[in-house]
Amino acid sequence: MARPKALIVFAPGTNCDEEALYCFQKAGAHADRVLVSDLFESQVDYREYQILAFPGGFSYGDCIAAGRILANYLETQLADLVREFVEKDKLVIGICNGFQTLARLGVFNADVGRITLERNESLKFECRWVRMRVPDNADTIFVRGITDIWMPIGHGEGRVLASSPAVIDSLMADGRVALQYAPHYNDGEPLYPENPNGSERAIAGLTDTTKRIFGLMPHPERFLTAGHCFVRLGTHPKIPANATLGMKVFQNAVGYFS
Amino acid sequence: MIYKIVVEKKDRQYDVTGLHLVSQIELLDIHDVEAARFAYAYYLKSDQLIPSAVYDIAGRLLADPVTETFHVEVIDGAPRNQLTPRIHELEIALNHGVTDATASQVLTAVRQMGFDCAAVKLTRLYALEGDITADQLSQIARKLLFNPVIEHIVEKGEQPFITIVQEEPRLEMLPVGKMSDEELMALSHNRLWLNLKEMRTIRDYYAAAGRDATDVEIETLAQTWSEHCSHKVFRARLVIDGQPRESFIKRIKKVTTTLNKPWCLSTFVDNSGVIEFDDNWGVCFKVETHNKPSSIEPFGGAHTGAGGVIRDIMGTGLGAKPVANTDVLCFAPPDMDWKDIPSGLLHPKRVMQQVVAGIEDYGNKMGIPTVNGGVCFSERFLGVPLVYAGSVGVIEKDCALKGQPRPGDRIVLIGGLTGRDGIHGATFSSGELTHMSETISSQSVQIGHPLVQKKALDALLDLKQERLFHAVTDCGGGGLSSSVGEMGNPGGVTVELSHVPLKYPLPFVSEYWISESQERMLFAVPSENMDLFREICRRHDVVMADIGQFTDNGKLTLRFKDKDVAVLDMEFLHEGCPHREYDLKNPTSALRPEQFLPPPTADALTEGLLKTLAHLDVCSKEPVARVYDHEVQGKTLVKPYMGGKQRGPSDGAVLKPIYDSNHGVIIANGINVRYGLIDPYRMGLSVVDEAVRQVVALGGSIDYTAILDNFSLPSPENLQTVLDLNRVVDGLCEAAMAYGLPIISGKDSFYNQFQTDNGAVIAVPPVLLVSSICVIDDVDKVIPNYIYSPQGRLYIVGLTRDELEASCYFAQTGQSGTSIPTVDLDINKNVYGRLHRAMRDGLVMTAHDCSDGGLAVAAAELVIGSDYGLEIDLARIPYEGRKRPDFVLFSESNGRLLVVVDAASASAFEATMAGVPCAQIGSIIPRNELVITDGGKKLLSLSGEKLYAAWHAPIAAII
Repeated sequence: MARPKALIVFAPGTNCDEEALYCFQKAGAHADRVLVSDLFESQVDYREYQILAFPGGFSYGDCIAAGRILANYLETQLADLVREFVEKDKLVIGICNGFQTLARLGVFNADVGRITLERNESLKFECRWVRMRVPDNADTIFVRGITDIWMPIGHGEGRVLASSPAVIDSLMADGRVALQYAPHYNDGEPLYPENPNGSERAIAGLTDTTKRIFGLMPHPERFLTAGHCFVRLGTHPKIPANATLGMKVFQNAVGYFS
Repeated sequence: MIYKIVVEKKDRQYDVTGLHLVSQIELLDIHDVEAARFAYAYYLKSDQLIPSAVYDIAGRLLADPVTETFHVEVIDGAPRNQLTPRIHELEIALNHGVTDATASQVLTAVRQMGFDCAAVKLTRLYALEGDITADQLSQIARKLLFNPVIEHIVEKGEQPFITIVQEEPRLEMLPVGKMSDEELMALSHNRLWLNLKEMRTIRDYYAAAGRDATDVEIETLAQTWSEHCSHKVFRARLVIDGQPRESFIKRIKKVTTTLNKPWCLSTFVDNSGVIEFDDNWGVCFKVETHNKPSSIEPFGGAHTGAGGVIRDIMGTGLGAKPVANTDVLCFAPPDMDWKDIPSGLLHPKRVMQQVVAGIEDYGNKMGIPTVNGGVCFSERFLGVPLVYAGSVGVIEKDCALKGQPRPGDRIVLIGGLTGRDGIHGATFSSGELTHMSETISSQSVQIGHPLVQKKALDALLDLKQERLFHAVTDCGGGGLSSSVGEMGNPGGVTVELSHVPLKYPLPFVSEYWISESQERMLFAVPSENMDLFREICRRHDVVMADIGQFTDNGKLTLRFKDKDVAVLDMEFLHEGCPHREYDLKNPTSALRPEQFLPPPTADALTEGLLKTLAHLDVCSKEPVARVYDHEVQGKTLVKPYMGGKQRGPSDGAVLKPIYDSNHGVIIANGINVRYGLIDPYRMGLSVVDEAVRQVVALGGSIDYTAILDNFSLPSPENLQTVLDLNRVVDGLCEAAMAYGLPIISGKDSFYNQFQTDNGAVIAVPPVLLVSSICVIDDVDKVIPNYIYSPQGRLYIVGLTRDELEASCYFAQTGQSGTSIPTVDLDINKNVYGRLHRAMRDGLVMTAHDCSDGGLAVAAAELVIGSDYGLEIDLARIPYEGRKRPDFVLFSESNGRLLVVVDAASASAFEATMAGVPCAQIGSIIPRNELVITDGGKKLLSLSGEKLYAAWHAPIAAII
């Protein structure tokens, strides 16, 4: 197959589009950044794309709540957009504000209830590197070949909460939890700030039921070379010299179509 | 029909606003509020909406299904229910007539859902629980909950939707040409901030013209001639001790022109300085102060300070893209007792929290990483804190030069709407603050809106891509008056003020022109490009207005609805302000008496180290750095805190601003708020040395380093201020010249002082912030500032002397004497050059700069950031003076770095460093511990965790 095409959706206030665009290009895709209003005005035909990406930022200034206005726009003006990708065996990724947007659309809810992203338990915006594990039963394409990965986070509202404990149980059982915060240098449960926002079951990333929509709070697009890491790779006894870069998430997505 | 939907958190633990409010109320010295709750109210006006639709809107759009709950009321004008006496409810709404961007987004969303809705209004609801008086409630409301310039407390029965009829704005005629000196000064007082000589020059201009002035003209002159805009002290003629000296600005510029570095692309002529990055790109850098707005309204002041300097980058050349921010802040100690805070001042803890929150909000929402900074403390910042906001951008080399408008080009304003924000901001910042300033100057505080600026930035980059304009600049201090005035100088401009888009009706024509509303950019656009220009703005949802045109008649002509409201000669406006003159004598300086404690015991030395680590200038600023996104854009290689524990402090930041280029940029800052009061000259030298040393510590070369200068001083009416400045400038220029550092941009801020109600003046010390920028050609050669290996030899480069006056150690132990650190420019230049060569040859594993707190603090920081430790022998440290152990450990001598070298590279390293002060003083040990010995005798040993606890605690208690 020819080079897959990635569509980076850009709304007023989006600000992680440049690095997402670069990661998709570096991973081998043809990537375009498109204003959401241009999609609505049909200036760009999204059906030509295989990957749909919602990057981070503060879309519409986080009016009402993070991601809410963009989600409403998608739901009411571009109802076929996400559906097109899910129904046609294509991929969708939402990072940080993109995750918040997709969560507001309801794609990560379970039959037994809903999930949301609330203010961090620390009540603060926080920027730091965190370690994550991929649960054994997670089988989304985006995290294929990844068991353990470090990435930076930078958010104030990343705390995954559910309307009932059964929701989290069901997401876990169905392999829809794709990333969990992990202790940095030992086993056991992650404590703050290893779980930086107080997410239930330390959830950092989720998928929909098809496993082809992936939402995550950490930023894989900010770990694009070894030089971006917070330690010099190869010098820390507990971080492998060939640590998985965030780039891998984009390579996985592009590789799915190559 | 009007529906009111109230949305609140189901559980108080999610009510962040309410929880924060309780702690903010404590900082007003009001301690009886037990709990606070917060909710939003959305008013929907519609004749069509049925109740089920309202519930649909509330449930699907406005309230979170998991954590929030809502209720709906129908507004019929009846008074609300009486509440329990201990619960105080307040509802805050925007004033009628004020544009509400958030409400219009909600309205759009409601309509997109398919519902009919005529209007939306948003209000904020606060419920405070506790026994508080009406006076306290009003104080809380005024200081924490609303800004009277745009908001008010909703009264019972107040209708949410009222249409405002706009009255014609007024124009005032002023007979300045006929005024007496007294009348002139009465006009200037608290409004124009011009002195008698300047006022007389204006009088003569109008007397010669034989006409009255309009208030628009007078305000324009006051703004253009303000200290803030025209830098009168920096341009003043100087005679010092009987000898004429060149003006400050000439001395500074002379460094840059004499050095004549080919890689300097644009210096001193634009909103920021530009240097070469690689064959295709330049990088630009600017740092600004926003001190006085931050003292009155710390969040708004810092917010718009950050926003303003970002616009300086956007408005550089033909438009640059901001890639990083840096912020240096100076506050009074946050643990000050209430009784020591004079009336009219905010508690420094609140100032600090709000300033940090302002920078966080603007930088994060713009998507620009805040990668580096500093926080310093002194009780002298109680009156006015210092807020230095800096920004770095990248720019195509062929866009690096300032564009020139051509006659006939349209004057186009984009971005934010214009309101009363910051009226008299530039003139106000050119005067002293008093206990009344909070009330008088509240309207001088600007209100920031980062989303508006983010959209303007996106539009700017597309407009630049299409090459649609001849010139761009930002609207900063002085508003349109300053930006149009400067862009149109000397050619001329004709502006139609009624075309300026407003937030709400303005009562005076002059306010259209001098408003400092934020997020506005100004362009010179050829007429034939206007259609495409307009279309790009529309796509990015950016407001734009064609407000006039550039001419070639040499006149500033302002019209309101086709009627002239100001006609001034450009030459008089820009060159007419009379020069200041200073004839000054340096007083003979008295040395401070020596007050030393006896040499410390081992226990006292341990305590001295822990205390010094907890000194506010030394301690960890990590809690501040964490609330700033320092990773966005994926360009940050060296972050504020590095190493496995993410707590080893970096000496500066390293960016890789262009993804496909391996070139990088190092950003660092040098500042000291303790030295300037005692020796402003050595302070000047020291901060240049620090700014450069940090660049060197990261692997940068001083041969490709440029610096910015930013002065903050008290009132220049006090001649000591000008004398101090003279010495600071000497230190700056000598060091910059000797090291070969071009000064590419700078800024000065005066009147940083506050007069209390009993007449006492709290003035800042003389402060110079030197910010450095260095281009490196290979980011893989960056040197870490943390230890990553269990083995290695520890060296110190540079000479340590008896230089502890005003040091952090002396401050913490109550000692004084010796001297402020000087700088041996020749030796240091040699040290930095050789160390850089050793680094290029791959001989250096780690380097870390010794500054505040001396080598003991530098060593402790290395241990804190690492899993390993250090053992240091004081006897091996090259020292000049009384070699007391505590002096060796805590002297703040300049020019020194700790360097870790692998055993295999040691002899090559020593050979490279031959001839400059350099000695092996210890080695890495496998335990996470700092061990200090003196010729084999153990003086102290402290674990990494103990060091960390002392160093981390002070700021963690505040942020």
